[in-house]
Amino acid sequence: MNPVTATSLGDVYGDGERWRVAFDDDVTSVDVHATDEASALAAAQTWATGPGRSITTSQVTS
Amino acid sequence: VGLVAYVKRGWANGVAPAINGANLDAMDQGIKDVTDWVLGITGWVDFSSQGVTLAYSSTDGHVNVLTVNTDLRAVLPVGARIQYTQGGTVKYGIVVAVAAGSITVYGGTDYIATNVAISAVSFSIAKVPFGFPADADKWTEVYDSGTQAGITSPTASTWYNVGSFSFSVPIGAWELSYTANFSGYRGAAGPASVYCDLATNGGTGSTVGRFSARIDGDAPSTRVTAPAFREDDIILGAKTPYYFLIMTPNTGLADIFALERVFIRARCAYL
Repeated sequence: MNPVTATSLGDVYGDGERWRVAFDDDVTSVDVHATDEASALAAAQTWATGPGRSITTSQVTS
Repeated sequence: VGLVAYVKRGWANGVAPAINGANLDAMDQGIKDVTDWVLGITGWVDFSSQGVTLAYSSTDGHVNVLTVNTDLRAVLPVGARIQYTQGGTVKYGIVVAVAAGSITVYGGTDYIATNVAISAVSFSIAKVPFGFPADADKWTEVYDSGTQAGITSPTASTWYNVGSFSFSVPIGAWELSYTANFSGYRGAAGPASVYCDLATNGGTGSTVGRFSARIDGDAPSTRVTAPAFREDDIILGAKTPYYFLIMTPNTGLADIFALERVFIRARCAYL
């Protein structure tokens, strides 16, 4: 699961700029706090490969 | 009603009504005629024969507004079934609003009015008049997120509309429900509570309410996850968006997530 696109959400939550990053499994997205697209993709990559990220996608497309 | 029918039939025949076997039979027939007209052997009451006409006005999703030449507010209740014909096709619906010059009809998944002439209009206050599809799925709106979504480093007590998951529920009375698997991960010692909710406020927050669900954990190395199912009755005077929201009251969580797909269902409560 690798981050492939990052779309700016702006400061919709009032905690600074957020980006929505979609992954190449086509069913997962995660919102990350970042200042630009590259940082957002990097943050999502860090998140996806970090401990405890047992995000299963087995049932999402069933 | 029976006496009126009997007298009317007698007058129509030019004969003074008399109490005899033939006229009693005629009275029975009159009662049957009137009863059939009022109730209909199929459960439908023919309004076209009473001079009521409908015309297409607009469509929004599975809901139509139809103009009517007669004020039906005193005779047509919300929840009544409608049957009409367009282009040779018989269509059904459930009346969800009645105004002086129009009615609003929920057509379910299969019966959407188009901008062509409407004929053969009937209404019914029966639950399932003849031909009316009783399959609940045909009268249920379903949203499927198709994806899973979350947010990293969430701010405590801030509601997030992850994935922008939302669904606009049409006008009417509905049994609204949703299912989701909501989750949180801390990765360090400390509490990990997570809430999810379905609310009309999608941008900046919600309050814990009738659609909220919660899980509490104190597991520094594992993800806390729980299934959520909540259902309640709502009545909407206009189409209203409902947003799936997720929140943690704790600081320091690595992420909160809606695992797997989120489903929102709105089943017509008039069914």
